[in-house]
Amino acid sequence: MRDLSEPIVISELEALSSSGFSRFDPPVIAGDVPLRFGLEPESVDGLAQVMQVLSAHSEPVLVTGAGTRLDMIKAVQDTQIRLSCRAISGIDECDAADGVMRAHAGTPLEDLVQVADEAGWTLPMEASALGATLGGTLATANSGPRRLGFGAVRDNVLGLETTLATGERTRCGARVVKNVTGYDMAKLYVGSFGTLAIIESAWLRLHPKVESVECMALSLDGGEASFRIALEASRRTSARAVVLLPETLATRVSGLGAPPKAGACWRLLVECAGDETVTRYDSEWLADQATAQSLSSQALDSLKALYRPASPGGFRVRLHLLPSGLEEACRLLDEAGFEVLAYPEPTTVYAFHDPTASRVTKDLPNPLALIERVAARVRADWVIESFPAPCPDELAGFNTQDPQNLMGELKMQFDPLSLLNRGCFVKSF
Amino acid sequence: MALTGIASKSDHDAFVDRLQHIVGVENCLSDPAELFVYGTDALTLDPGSPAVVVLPGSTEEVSAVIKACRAANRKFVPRGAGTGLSGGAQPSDGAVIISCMRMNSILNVDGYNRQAVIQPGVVNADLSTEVEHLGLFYAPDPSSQQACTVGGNVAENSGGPHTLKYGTTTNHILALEMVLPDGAITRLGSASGFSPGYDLVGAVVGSEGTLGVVTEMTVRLTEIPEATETALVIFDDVPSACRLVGRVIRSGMVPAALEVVDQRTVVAVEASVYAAGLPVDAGAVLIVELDGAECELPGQLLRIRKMADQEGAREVSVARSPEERTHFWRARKGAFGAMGRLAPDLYVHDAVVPRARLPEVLEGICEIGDRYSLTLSNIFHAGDGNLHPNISYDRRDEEELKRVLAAGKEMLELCVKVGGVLTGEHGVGIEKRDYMGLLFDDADLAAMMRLRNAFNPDGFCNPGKLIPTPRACTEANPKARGYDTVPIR
Amino acid sequence: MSSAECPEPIQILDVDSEIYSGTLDCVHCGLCLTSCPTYRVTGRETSSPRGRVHLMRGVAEGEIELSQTVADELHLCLGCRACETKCPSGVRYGALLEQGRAIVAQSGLRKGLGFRVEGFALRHVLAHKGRLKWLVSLLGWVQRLRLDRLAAPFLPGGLSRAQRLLPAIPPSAERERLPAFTPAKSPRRGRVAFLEGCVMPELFGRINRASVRVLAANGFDVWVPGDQVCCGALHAHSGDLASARDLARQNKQAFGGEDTEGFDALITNSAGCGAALREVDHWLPEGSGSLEGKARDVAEFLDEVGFREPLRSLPARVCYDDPCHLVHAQGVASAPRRLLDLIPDLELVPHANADRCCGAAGTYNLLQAQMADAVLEQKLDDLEAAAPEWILTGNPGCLMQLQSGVASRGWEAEVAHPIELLDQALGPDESPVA
Repeated sequence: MRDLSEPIVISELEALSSSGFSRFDPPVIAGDVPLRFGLEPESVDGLAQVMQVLSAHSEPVLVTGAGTRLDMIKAVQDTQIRLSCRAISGIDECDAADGVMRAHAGTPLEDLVQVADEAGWTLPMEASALGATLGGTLATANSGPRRLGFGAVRDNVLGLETTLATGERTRCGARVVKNVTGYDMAKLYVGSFGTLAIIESAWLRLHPKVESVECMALSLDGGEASFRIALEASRRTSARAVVLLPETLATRVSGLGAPPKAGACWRLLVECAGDETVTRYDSEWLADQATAQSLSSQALDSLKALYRPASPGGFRVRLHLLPSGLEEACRLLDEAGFEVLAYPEPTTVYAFHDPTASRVTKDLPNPLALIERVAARVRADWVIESFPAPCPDELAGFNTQDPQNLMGELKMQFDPLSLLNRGCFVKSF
Repeated sequence: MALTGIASKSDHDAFVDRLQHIVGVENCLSDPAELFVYGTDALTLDPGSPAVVVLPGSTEEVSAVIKACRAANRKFVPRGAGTGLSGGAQPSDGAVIISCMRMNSILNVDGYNRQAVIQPGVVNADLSTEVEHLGLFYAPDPSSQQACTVGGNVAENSGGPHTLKYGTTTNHILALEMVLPDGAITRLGSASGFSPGYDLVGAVVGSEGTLGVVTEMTVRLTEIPEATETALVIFDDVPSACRLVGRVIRSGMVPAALEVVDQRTVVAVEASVYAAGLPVDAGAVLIVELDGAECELPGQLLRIRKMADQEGAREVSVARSPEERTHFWRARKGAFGAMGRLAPDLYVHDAVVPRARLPEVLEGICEIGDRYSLTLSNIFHAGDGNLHPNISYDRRDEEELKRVLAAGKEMLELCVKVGGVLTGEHGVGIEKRDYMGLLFDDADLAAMMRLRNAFNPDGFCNPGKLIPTPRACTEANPKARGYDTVPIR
Repeated sequence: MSSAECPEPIQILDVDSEIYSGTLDCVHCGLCLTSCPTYRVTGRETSSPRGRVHLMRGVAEGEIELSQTVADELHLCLGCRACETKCPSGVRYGALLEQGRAIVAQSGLRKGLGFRVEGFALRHVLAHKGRLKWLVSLLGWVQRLRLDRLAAPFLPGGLSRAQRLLPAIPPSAERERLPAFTPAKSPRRGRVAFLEGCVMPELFGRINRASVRVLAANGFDVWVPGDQVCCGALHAHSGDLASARDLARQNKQAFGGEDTEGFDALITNSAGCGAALREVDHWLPEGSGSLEGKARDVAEFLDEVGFREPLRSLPARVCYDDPCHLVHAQGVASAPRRLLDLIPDLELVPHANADRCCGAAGTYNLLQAQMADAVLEQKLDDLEAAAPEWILTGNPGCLMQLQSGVASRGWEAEVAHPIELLDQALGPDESPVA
């Protein structure tokens, strides 16, 4: 670790009138990374100036939004400065006639939800935590249980304005809903955890507001049929969110209420959204499959508690797989003692490891190795979503094989000095 | 003796020999007549002359061809069926065309997981036909779907009428196998729809063949909806049809498609093999397709009728049978080609504007067409704001060609002025390459160049496409290895 | 061909030619591509309709030479005209191809023994009924004496193929010409003229007689003028437009010259002939006169006037494979199917790509063996999935091609003309099908 006790860069930054500046006390956040200074530019120009100074001094930064999900960053190397984009905020336009919206990165997602709603539209994104910003959500490509209906984050980003590590500002995409003018740069930036460019603002696609939303809970016995029902439910016309979780977990989430049927081992939560005729039609179909009960439309939001940063020593892993592997993945992870939560389609399984309450088999000391084994068995792609404990070195980057090192090449092209979230995603050059 | 013969051959002959050795003599074309027909794709403005055309049969052959090209210092251009409208598959002079038409197998169809693994030369419509018995289809449906390949669709991120509800190609590609411009074979993405790290599949889809040659795709298949209703709303003029589109968009309904066809187009189509009985005296026909659960369609149709009345529609007629619906769509999709009845050449424009601005933009476009005395017809994906002003012309008339190009540029400027973009589904290619500056500044283009440099640092793969000139690019590339300098001919 | 034999003016493919203006109809959209069987096999733009049109345009504009490659590509085309039914721009591909091939023929770029034999056979055998009859009788003897099998190993490729494609030559009694007049067998509805064809009476006389029986049973007098000749389709397709015109003029005369008031329609049961009769107007500078518009395929005609039932039950599983020159050149697709649907208990099973060429294409399967086989294999794959007991098609070339395909795969399916089943279903005395 370099000694930056008195870097010139700090005094230069302090001299920039447009950027807010703060010192951290205590200085440690984001795992064991010691951060000493915080910067919060108040405008995109300020952000550009900050990056110009930083790049002139080859000084790396940790780029964040509100900092609600720093656990997802896992680790950054050699970094002492945190750059928060929270102050670059505001909604420029919400076009009610066209169903698109433009907002700055620091805007809290709940503000966007509200403005869209007032304009008669729905923002097809979900905040993983209160206060989560648009920029953070885009950078982490973080979606929630409604991904089934909303689509992935990348699908709803129409255009972006970004600041590169050099302080250069660039633009891609536009406000229109269909566009192939040039490379689809937004796809590259969304989900890149701020390692290629800093998102300043975005054009977003809004979804029409639906006439009716019905939320139901079904009790399932965990047999083969349970998983079939879960998948079929996801494939109903109006299904917007489908979540499968064991009863042991469901009972711990306040807001979900009691199981529709006592003694069942799994609970299926389904949110139907659409014309009233079709949500009713689909709800009736659901009620025919198993013991069901209606829930309030806020029930799904209570699941957010589960996506919080894991407790110290614990972690949360997200596995992505084919629908055909859903049952086996849930079973194997459950048997191994992980808490499991699954979206049947696009098939996503969360495995929670909480050392304080863990049932994880004792003779396998490394729970991550266990995950690795299950993932190989069901041919899942997986990623550690939350790892607040000191991160093993081999996990600081990616658990991916990239034989051509295209990701390294990209990082090299966009951020050759590796200033942005150094060590995240692409380890080093 | 034989050795002397080989040694006396020119470099080019030796290169052709090498390619023949890789792909087989019959799959390596170098006769002037054969090369001539590969001079353009469906954009015929200004043909190029390739040096060789190869039709490899496997990923390994593609890789070997690319390595041979590099060894011989030849640039190469991937090509599918050649139905692209922006010149994406047009060869720069002396380039090697790598045609994927022999790699046309559907390798695997997984009905349960709703995906298929296919080679790039599979024809778009054939894929849907092949999976129909499973109750599935491949959603992106460009008008050329009966001929275009899915590989070409991946290159161009093709759309189609049903993009409105189902998204473009990028929403349906899960994983790719590709040969990089250095000949290395790599796999991007995953059948699960997620792979750790950057969204490389998202970056490659729509990259117009400039990042490498895609040799295998894992595509998402979509369930055929339970019910479909197709209505024709007949209007006296195009702006009224556009106003109805605006109403539908605001209403909260998401139709599967909202397509406007103007009178000149209707007349041409009705004279062709794709005639579907559309009224030739109508100022505009709006095709509204609704799909979903059977129970929800009658209500939606009723709302459409009511809104159509409010916008002064002359008539709303609903397809009475699947055959009739098929006829409507065949007519819609045959429309571009039918314009050949008006003049020898057709310039199919492609631009997108905010949907709410459609009526004014269309009036502006017609004004430009009139001002330049051009035969203009309009057919467009109204629900997406994706316009296709078509100009019928004769490329042998140089003066007319000049007017066509000037009018086209003005139309693009108009679209950009209201917040629109240069292309919604045809791509930039060579056609719009030099107009990129209307929308992007040097830094924006340099960022795109950074992406290209990560894959295709020395510009061997599909040179001269998409990004205008090397300005700012050498600067942006830390490795500064020099770029394609092929000028637009 | 020496110039003395060729009364036609030498055509040049340049920007003033008729071909050139025809190529301008193509806007290069590519919708034709996948309808083309040769393109589907090779994947080459050169062997696609768009490519071939572009080649002709290129030659006319002086961009490329009229080279061997151009000539070969024009002859690799099956001439199935499937592209025409996909072309939104209305390119008259069939006509362009015939004219293009005529220019190739004049340029001397058609080489090889096969082409010379073809040219000789078309001009000197097919066009003369007597010589054809003599040749077929000879072949009949060769088959009966099994000389063909003895000779098979020693025959050059083209001939051994011809030997395999050739069906069993019917005995001479079955090769009798049709009577000049057959009266209606039920209340009279009209009078039709019938084109016998050149190959049909020699190899498929049974189909001609079935056609006449069905027409008569439906209330039509059938008139078969004795001085009719071959329709000239094969000549035109091979680029010998001069012979084609000659034959067309003879037929025009045979069927009444300018006076065709005497019959309602000129019926053919061979798709290739039907398409040719409909093209006569384009072939002859003076036009076909009152013959114009009278040509009808037998199925199309019966469907138009309404088939007289009742028909006897024929429980069988059948596939109807469209002859290209019926579906693409004449636009007749549903009529034969509707007629077959009238037969009780006949199960018409749809198969994939029924409107795609089988690879016969006149003399094509003899001259372009490799491509014809590749196209046939795709056809057989499509048929195999439908597993028919009968494969029906309405053109002699297709009948032979499919028959040889069925034999090569060892299937038990019968290959027949749809009119044969209609004939059987009409006649209560015939033995049951299959």
